[in-house]
Amino acid sequence: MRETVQVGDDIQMYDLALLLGEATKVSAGSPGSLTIISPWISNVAYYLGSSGLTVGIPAIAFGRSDVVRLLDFVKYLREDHRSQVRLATLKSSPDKYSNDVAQLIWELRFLHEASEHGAKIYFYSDEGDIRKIMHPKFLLTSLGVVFGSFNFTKSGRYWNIEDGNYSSALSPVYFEKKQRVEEIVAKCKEATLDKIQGLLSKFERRT
Amino acid sequence: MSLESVKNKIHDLLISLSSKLPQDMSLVDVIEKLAQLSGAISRADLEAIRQSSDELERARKVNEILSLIETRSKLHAPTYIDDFISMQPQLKYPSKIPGTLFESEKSRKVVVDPRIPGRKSPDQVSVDQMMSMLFPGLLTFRYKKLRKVPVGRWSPFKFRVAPPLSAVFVTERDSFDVSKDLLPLDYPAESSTVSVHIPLELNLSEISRDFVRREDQLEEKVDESAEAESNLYLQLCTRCGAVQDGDENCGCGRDFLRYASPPKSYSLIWNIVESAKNEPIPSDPLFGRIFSEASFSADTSVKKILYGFERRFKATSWRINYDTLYGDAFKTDGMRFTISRKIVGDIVEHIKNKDSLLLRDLRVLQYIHELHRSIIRNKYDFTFSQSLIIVKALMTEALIHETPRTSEEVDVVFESARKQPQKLLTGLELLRKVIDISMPLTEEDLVHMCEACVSEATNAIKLNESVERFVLDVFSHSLEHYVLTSAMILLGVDESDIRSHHTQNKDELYLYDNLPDGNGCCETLRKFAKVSSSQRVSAVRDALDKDMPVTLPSKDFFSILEEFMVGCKAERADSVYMKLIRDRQVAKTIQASATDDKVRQELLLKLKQDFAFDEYTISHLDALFRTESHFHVLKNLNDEDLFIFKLVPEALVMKLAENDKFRICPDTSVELDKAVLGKVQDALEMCVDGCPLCMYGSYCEMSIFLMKYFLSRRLVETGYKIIRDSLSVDLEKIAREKLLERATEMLNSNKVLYLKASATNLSLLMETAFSLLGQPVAGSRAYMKAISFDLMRDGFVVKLEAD
Repeated sequence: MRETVQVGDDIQMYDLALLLGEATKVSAGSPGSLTIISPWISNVAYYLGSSGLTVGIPAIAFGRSDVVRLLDFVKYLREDHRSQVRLATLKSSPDKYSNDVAQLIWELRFLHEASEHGAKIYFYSDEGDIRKIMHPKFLLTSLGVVFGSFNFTKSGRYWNIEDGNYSSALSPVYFEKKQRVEEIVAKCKEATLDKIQGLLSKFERRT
Repeated sequence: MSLESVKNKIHDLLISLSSKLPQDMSLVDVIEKLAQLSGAISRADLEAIRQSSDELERARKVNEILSLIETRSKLHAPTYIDDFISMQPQLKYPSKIPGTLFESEKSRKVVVDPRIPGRKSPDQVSVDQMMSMLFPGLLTFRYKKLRKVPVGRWSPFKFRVAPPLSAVFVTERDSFDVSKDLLPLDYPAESSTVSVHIPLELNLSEISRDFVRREDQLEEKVDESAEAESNLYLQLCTRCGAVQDGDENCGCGRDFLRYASPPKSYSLIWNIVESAKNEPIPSDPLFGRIFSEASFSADTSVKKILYGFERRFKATSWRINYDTLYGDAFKTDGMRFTISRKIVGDIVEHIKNKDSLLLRDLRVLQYIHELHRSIIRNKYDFTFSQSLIIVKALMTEALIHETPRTSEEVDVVFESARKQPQKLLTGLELLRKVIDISMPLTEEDLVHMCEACVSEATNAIKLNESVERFVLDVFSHSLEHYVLTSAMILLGVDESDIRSHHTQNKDELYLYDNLPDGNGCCETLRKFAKVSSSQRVSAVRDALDKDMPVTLPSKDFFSILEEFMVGCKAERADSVYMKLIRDRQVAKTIQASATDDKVRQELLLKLKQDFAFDEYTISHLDALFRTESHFHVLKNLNDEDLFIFKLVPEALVMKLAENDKFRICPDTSVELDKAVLGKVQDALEMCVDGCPLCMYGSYCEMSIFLMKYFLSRRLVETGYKIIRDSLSVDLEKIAREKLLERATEMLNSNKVLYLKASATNLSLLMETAFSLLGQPVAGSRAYMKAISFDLMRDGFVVKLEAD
């Protein structure tokens, strides 16, 4: 068995499998766990219908949809209040998307809604040059981890030529990555719903 | 007041009047008359009087009916089925014959020459439309105005050689020959080769003006009377089933019965399909074990033959063969699936050793099949429905005493009928208590037939490998329906675009485009038979790149087929109901829930919370709980007897206690058994026990009556289960340390793996499945194909496949 496997253009297949794996656990009464670290993050759409992955679990109603968004997973996982969903990203600032405020608003709206459903949102330090400080990308669940250069955005997941790996929870690599994720989250500051709302209002006013 | 009480009253009156006689001598006459009357009453034959009064009552009713018929006849005497149908818009299919018998998008046309004054040139219709006119009951032709066209004469008698009077123009060149062996077993072909004519021209000028009816005239008829809808009478020959119609006449004389509703007619269409230059399609690791070969061919030859129709009215049915065969032949695109002999052998071995109930049920079907074949071979001219009644009668006679539990016990039922053919009459007598039966033979002939045919059927079943042959036939036929339905779901088309074919005793199934040179269905099917994960990844990225929608179907053909073979949701919901009514405490609640909304809602909520049933299951159970009669029928039935009584529901009615019958039909006092039969049939229509209702197709060559007795979802599901079990790792049956090694081995050798576990072992299942995800196997990578949960069967299942 390989400890890590190469992930390329098929990253969406691994994302989907991991997210649905957590959803399956929730459907069976166990809490789910999801941590995403990505400097740029959005409500990524997954083409579940076109992926060829069939979900035959009655309780997962969105399993019959053609397109499922990250937010759908977050909402479902949080139906069990014990589930832990953490999203860590760079703090929103005008230059985060090279002064493209519209992009920033989309991101904040996603984070705001996720936060409303109980996801914990983390921003990396306010200080310094943000691009030099936080660059790793992880999607970590209790079943495995996807890591590499892919941002958690449509371009990162579907467009760019990127490189990455997948390790299952039984691999030693998983524990290394899990530890790394915890280190990064520890360096971040949790953003409350009010704070996100404040940021969102601020940038919406600018447009 | 009875005669006895009248006599006593007269006696009392005589005593009273006698005491008053001295005062009034005029009472003498009265007393004399009363004495005479009393004497007459004493001499009267009370039984005779009762009988004659009954007779008088019957005569009065007959007079009433005759007068009613006369009145109605004067009001309306339709001679055309169309008139009849058009005046009864509420009638449901199949009273109304489908207008698309041979419908496709064909370009080839038949010239129609109406010779209507003012019309300069003839028009053209498709061959399919043309052929649809050759089917009795659909003799209307939409050619601008609706017309009644008496074409396509048929002979009700076998071997009748009468030149068909037809306005259909055919040539020797536009016909094709078919060997008698390739035609249906019961078609009375006169020579070893029979010509099938492709219609070319319909000449309306050959048709007498009297026979041509215009739409506006029909409409005028409808408007004539407001009470037209259900009071019309159709004349139907009791001997051959012919309708006294502009087109249908028979040589049986004019001794017609008059019925107030039209008979149901079903066309008999036979297909002959062959293919050449087959190109294999991408294989699927699971279906590679069911189909030894799956291929596409652009050289698929299709021959369609309209050879008659079967007509059913109440308890009577007739099968009528055309003496002139009409049809069509063309080349198109098709797919061929060859059934693996190994899987058939495995199924037979499995059911012989491990599934005695399925073996028993198949044996009953085999008797039905063989008995009908024998009846046809012995030229008894029975329809399938009539042969079925014979089996039902023999089964009923046996079921009254005991339900056979094994295939050997089924053999005993028929063996004993062979030795004592009189049992058939006893069975028929029992059946008559519940249903109307019309048999075209005398009791003596029926006994002879039973003796000869049951003996032949029994001998055929005893032959070596008869079970294997029958299983192959039923399995292939059932798979044909699965394959067609899956293809229609994938392509989003219906049976007018794509059709299927399976020839009995052969291991090949065909799908073909219902259009000469193809309509793209099979071509698309080939493309999407199996879509790999890498194809899906590329398709999604391409679509996003080009800002276009993703055009890949969410499930490929084999995935849809597999989903179908796993079993249906309705069956699962029905199985839950059956399990619930077996629990005494829950059964009480279910019974109460039929009339008490609050109890029902509480029960449904509890089921939803305790078992996490989805909305579909809950609403299905809700409907079942509301139907109280289901409860009273099904509680009287063992699960293992369900299939038997589905075949012979009449026997279950006879076995029900009177109290239960009243509970099932509380508002019925007249003909209770017949009313109960309807409710029993409804309850037995449950989707449990492999009910094949959802598999029925409109164009099955076996005809609509036969089809359902040669479909077995249980057999297909058993075949699927055998294969899936051989590709599965049950986490609860293997040591944890060997789990990953075993799973990887299986993925490497089979390219597919099913991991299964109960809910308590879900964590282990997930850990294992996610450890295998992405690992290099069989020269490729392992991808997750499905995650599913089924409370009633395997629990949690994760399917992994090498891409």
